Amino acid sequence: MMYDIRIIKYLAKIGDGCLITHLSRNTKYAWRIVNDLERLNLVYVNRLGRNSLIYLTPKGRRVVELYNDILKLIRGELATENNIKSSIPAEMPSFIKGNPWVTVLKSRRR
Amino acid sequence: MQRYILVKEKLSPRHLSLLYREEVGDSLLEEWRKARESVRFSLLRPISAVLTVYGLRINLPYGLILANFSEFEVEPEALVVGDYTDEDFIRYILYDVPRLLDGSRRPVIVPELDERFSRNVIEGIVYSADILLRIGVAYRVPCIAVCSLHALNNIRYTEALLKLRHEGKVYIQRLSDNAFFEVRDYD
Repeated sequence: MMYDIRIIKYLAKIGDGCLITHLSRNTKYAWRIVNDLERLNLVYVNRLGRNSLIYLTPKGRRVVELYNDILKLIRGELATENNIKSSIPAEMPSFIKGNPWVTVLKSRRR
Repeated sequence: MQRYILVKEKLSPRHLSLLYREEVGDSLLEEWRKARESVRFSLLRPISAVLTVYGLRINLPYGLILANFSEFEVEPEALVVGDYTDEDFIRYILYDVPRLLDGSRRPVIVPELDERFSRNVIEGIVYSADILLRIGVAYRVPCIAVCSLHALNNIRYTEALLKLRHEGKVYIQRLSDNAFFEVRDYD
């Protein structure tokens, strides 16, 4: 059973989900890692035919989140409340700014 | 299970997170920040759809997909946006469609996107296409918008399917990888 920095390494590698072969080409070793992580309730396995997909549990995602914050702290760019990264930008893009249809939303109470 | 924030309108965190800061307004700014932070790592499994046009089956990724033809079927069963126009249409796709997707995620079909606006047509198409793109990305479902070829120039899209006629033959062109499929139009 591994209880060291390798846990974080493999969790970061899994990210949004990956194939088991992505962890290690040695499938025996890869399954040992996955079983260890599964026992710690950090990942779950989804079998699709011959492929096995590994996903993070909420606990695993929290670990990766903390790890990312550590990296940011080292780089000196720790996210503040105003600096939230998302796949959708916070500010309206330039091609929509000044669009007359946006004002529709101000009267959204129906 | 989604946790709902009790505000003036009931919006789930994922729904709230797909709005821009300008769309949220000052009263909900704090909830909006929390929602964006909370859904950052709660990624949903993408739902891909299979579009069948004249017997040709095309897999659709999540995001916005534009098509200039309406003779298609989509699997799994999609949410079809009704005949709303102007303000009603904008409100419906921004507030009601995500609410319906919170209940059950499925592909979204918007028929006749370029005939929804009676004034400021170009701006309306651009804005509604951007809303659909955000819904597609946030909920990870394909949003299929049917519009004319002219409307395509104004829209930022991730994927577009075009029906073309050349020398009596009918082709479906997929713009992302410029692939052509010859199909038979029995009509």
